[in-house]
Amino acid sequence: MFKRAQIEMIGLVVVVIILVIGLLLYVKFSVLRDEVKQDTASENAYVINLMNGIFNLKLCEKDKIKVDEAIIKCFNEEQVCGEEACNYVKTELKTIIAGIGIKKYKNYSIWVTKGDNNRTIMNECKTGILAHTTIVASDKEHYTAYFRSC
Amino acid sequence: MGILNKKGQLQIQETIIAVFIFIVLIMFGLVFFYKVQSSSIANEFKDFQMEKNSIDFITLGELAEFSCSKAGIKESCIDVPKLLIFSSFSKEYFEKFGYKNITIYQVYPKTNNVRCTAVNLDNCGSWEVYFKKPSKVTSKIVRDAPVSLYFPDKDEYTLGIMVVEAYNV
Repeated sequence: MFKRAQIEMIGLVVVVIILVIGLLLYVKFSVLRDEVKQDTASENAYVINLMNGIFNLKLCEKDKIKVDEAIIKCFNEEQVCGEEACNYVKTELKTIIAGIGIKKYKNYSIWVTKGDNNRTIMNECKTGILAHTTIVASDKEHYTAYFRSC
Repeated sequence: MGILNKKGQLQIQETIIAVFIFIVLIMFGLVFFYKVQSSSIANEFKDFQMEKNSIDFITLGELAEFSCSKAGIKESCIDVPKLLIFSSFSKEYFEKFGYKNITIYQVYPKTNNVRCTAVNLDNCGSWEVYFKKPSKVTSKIVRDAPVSLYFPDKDEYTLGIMVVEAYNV
């Protein structure tokens, strides 16, 4: 009788172990799932494409100057379309960005650097996705333009 | 002897029931494991497809068939006349693109959304670059990205949005 009870107990233990393993598997696959991976490469490509697209656009009907060239004029405190370059570029960029109507990003920061000097054109983002490009001016000087969206 | 016989029969029946229940539990475990594995493989395949779509999507604008260049130097823009030519040869690209719908819409300066053809280039605003939709669609992923559009005849750039719909069969 004693042996029979022992055998019955072992059977019960085996069943409980199988049930516990099943429960652990369920918890692992349904509760402790892997996080959804964020597609950062696509986000970066989006911002780079947006930056290139905006910088290629031309401003000012009479001068037909590209945005990246206007940014360089802003850095050098020159004029564009009869106005102070930085203010003109900032106003035009806001108009362009509003005209594009991209809902993904609401705010942008754009600044340009050369060596240790930098000039900010728009400053609406402290964090966000950053892209940059090198602009070579007509005098072969190299500038780096930064474009951040958030 | 009769009582012993009955006791023996009872024991055998108990053993049979216990083994049967044990087998049923094992079967449940196997079925559960199979379902979990299938679901895991299906999810991994979906992740793989999404990554492949991402890679295809990121590199789409850089294809030699679309991209513009000046004096042999590649620029970050799409040559608009190339789009029209490409759409007439797009069927050859099924192996590369699969079931997708790739359309580009001009967003700045704003224009109408009339589909561009060889005859209405001055009064249109969208280009159907590639279209191949399967007869049965289980799901689709839609992504968009800004693109710079270059018109070499006017030496002008505009901004467009490239919309890619990837269909899953």
